[in-house]
Amino acid sequence: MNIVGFHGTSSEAAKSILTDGFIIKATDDKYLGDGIYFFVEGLSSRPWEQAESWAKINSWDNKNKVNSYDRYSVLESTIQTQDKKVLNLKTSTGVERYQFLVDCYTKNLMKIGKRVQPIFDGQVINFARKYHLMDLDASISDMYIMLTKEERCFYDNRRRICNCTVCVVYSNTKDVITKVELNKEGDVQ
Amino acid sequence: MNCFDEEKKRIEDFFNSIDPYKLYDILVNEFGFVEVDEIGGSYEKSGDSTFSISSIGTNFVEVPKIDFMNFCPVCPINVMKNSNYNSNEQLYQLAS
Repeated sequence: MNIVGFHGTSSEAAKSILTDGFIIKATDDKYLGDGIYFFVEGLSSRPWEQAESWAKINSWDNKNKVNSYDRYSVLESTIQTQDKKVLNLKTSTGVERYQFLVDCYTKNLMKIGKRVQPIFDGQVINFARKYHLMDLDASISDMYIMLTKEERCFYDNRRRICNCTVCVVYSNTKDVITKVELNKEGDVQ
Repeated sequence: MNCFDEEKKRIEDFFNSIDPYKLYDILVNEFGFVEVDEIGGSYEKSGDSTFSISSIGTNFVEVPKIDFMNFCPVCPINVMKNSNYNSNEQLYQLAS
């Protein structure tokens, strides 16, 4: 399976990625687990524009009311892996794999009268990966991401309709992310 | 047996062999899962004022505070950061 993904970030971070490769941060576990996030074709036919919007909006430092960076970049990457190593949550098989895991831990904990839930789906995936329950290089899912300041200011938190397709890659090796190149850069404002 | 059958068996074997108390400890303390109230299906993470979520039946109720720009632009759950609504009772009233 070959996937082309677009990653929006500051130009400074992009330079570092182009030189040294991606870094996976342990705090990136909110959506589909710790990994490198890419906008991919799916719900949008122009994922590079979504990466660009993300890079721009993500510069805003609300605490200090300034942009944390003035220049942004969009990186284009090729992700290569086996189909079975992708948890594709856009398919019934992918959802069933995920749900089976959830059902299993739920049933196990019911033995002691406990029920737990993740705050983010990514916590389930992190758990599955760490304990070798799923051998994954990547996950794909549709989701809703606020890509403009207007959406963030007037956010409808009951919205469940997705606007983009995201791929998260759990390995930063060149075996999986086989190509990274600059797609676009520009000023945040 | 296909690759997902193998995965399924691996998962089943894991959960058949792990002590539920150990599993609870792993999920809550290592991965940050939260305990769910069996009665109403609602929960709050005790001692953590950064969020508050309640589910009533199958309808999730998430009430944001005014300063939306504090929120993460991706995940609706983060909307609950700095929420003024910290009790399930308030959330239940809003959902009714």
